[in-house]
Amino acid sequence: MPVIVGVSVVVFSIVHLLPGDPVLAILSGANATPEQERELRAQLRLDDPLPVQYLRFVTRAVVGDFGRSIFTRRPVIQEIAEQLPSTLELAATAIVIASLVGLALGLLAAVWHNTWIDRAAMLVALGGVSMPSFWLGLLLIFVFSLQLGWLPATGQGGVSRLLLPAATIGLNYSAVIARLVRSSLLEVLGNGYIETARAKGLSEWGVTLKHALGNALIPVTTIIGVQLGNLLAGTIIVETVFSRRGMGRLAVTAVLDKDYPLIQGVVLVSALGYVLTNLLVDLSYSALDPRIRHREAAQA
Amino acid sequence: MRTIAAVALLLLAPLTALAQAKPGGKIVFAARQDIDTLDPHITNRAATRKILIQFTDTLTVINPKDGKVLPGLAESWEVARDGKSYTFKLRRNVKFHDGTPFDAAAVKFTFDRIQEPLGAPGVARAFLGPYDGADVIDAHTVRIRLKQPYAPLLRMVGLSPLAPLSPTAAQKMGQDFSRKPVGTGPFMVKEWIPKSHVTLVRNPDYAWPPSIAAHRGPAHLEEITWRFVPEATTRTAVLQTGEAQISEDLSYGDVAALEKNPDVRILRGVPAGTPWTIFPNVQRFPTSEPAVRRALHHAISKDAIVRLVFHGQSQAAGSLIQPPTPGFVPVNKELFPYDPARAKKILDEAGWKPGADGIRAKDGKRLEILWIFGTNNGYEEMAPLIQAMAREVGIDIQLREQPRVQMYEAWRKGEHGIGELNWWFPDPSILTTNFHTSRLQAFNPPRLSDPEIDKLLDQAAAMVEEGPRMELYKKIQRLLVESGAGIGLVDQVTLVGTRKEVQGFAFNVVTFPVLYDVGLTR
Repeated sequence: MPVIVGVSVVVFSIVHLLPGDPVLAILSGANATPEQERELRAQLRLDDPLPVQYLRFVTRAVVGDFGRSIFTRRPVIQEIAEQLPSTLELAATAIVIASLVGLALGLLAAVWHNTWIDRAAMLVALGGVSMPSFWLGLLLIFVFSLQLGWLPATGQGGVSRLLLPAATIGLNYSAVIARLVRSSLLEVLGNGYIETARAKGLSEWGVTLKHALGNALIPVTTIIGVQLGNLLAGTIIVETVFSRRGMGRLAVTAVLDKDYPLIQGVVLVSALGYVLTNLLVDLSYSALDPRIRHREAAQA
Repeated sequence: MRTIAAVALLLLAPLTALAQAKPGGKIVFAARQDIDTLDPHITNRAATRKILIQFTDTLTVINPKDGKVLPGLAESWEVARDGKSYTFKLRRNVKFHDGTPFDAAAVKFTFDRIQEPLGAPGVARAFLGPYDGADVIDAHTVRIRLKQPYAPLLRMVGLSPLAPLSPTAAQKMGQDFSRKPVGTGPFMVKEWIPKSHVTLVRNPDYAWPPSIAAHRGPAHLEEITWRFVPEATTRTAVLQTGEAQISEDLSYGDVAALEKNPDVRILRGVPAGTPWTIFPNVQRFPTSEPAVRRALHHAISKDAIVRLVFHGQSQAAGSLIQPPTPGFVPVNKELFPYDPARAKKILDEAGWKPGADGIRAKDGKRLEILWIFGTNNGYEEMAPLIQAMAREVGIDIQLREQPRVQMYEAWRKGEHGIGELNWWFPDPSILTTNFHTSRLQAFNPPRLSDPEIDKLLDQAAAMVEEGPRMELYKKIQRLLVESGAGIGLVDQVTLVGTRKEVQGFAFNVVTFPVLYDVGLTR
């Protein structure tokens, strides 16, 4: 909750303190007179003092009313509702790809620690994290759409149109996950109980998967949650490159148009998504590590 | 020679007949820019106007070849001697997509609605100029009254934001009209999915194409998916994969590679309007000095910009409007050839002496000019090149990028040393928009306020006779270029790629796509 309130204040102040006037943006090209300008300003209620505008914004926002977009004149919540599912679909698929690829690379690297496999896996991870998504996206289009002709490059609908954009984001984040899985696994593998497991005669894979992985996943889960914020930012570029609709495209247009209500709505909804995911991550700890749940129960 | 040509033509004839477009088929059109609305009276974007063209018809039609005005939904017209009223005789048996008849009342409704749109007014109101009102004389005759003479009107009513709309639909739908507007055109809007696409379907009743169209009757295509593909590289890719049949605004650098692709055809259109242009601020030091503006113009090699930025796909600008615009006269070459030596001499004579770093100074002030250029405004590659050329003669251009909204605001406050702007526009009266005192609060990036120029621009805007009117615009162009208030750089050119099975693609006068005649050969 404090996060959301903080975000609302910051967003409200930033868009209003930055230079650039939406009324002029709307009227550019119409050769408007000063009266028309005043008239529009009053109509959009941009002539009230800032605290009044903020209070109006907050009291409405708590009931899901973010006002109307200055440009399209449609309710902001409706604009967001139209774009959100597409981004959620993209983000969810990207997380799955990131987790799978990251986990696989990290496991390989940890189990064959200090061999060429480790180095190769980490090189791939380094590549993934270093490649900017607009370039990786174009590269994937070049290979899979243009050269191989397997997947369409743009648009919406179906797994085939989702795969390339989701992979673009996913590969970027898989690198971070891979490195973390590796280091976290190596740390856990150094523990005494792992030696015990080995002493029982379990194979190295058995030790890793059965005894080490569960404990190693706790920091990884946290990072996946934290990365979600970055991931939403990543959709801005990826949605543009792959011509998908979504929150990223909406955010870019809103900022370029200085569409205050729309910017506020988009950022608040994104912040809400971020907070909710982190809540989910916190809850998932207890599933991964029963001790966390027990400790809380003891305190209560 | 002539016989060979004739034989070749005979041989080719059956081939072209075979390549005739067949009715039916669906295409994907990859468009550069998202749209803001589909309401013609609110929009400010070319992106929206390109779609309007497909589902509306206009009262007049401008021939893209010579800029002449031809009949559209208006069969004929008469201009009052004082230039303050225009009487249009309208075509009969024309219907809107909702089945209601197109008549004089619909024209009056449309023009009145432009004055009081459901939202902030867009370009439509500016296009309609000094509109005072309309009178329905009979069902098929309408008289437009103007507050003052406004000669551009005949070309303005040829632009899609002024196209007649169904009064019934507009009144019934209210705000929803901006999602699914209703016109008389060859295609109808089926749906608009924001940030994704607009679907247009064929109007089966269409029987009133303008005379320049290649066929009669309904459009060939059944359906058009107008998809927004903002990334230029992606637009090139979808054209190559065949995911899109038409891709607009290709990047200049991609064209050479695309031309080698046998499945793709590249089409070039030169729009009426203004070239890529920079405007020195005549009210702000140091561009307030005519010598500085003149030296800057001499210092810029337009051909180098054509070569390096446009990959040879365009040509050096000849004036402050460009060739297909009526009244165009090439004065740049004569008045301001590329000549860095002359630029240096002009600055020397004006007292600007080179300093230790090569930048000139006078009375302790460095020759610094601030160019505020807009994000995604198309000048980001030209700016550093011009900066380097100016440095050669001792002018220091400082570049600052800002979102366009902020750039326009800086212009209004006069904070810029150089502003940039270019238009698609079918009439030379666009010079009024860029240079007239009355536009200081709108565009007018040079902040020019010259009573002599104002008088000539007003005169030209009021002249009903086309011939003398264009002569006057030629005189104005010469005066403006001489004054250094605008430096035309490179002519705008529109590059569109189509798959080779696409036939009948045409540009309108401002190179917006006309898809009525488009068909597929397979």
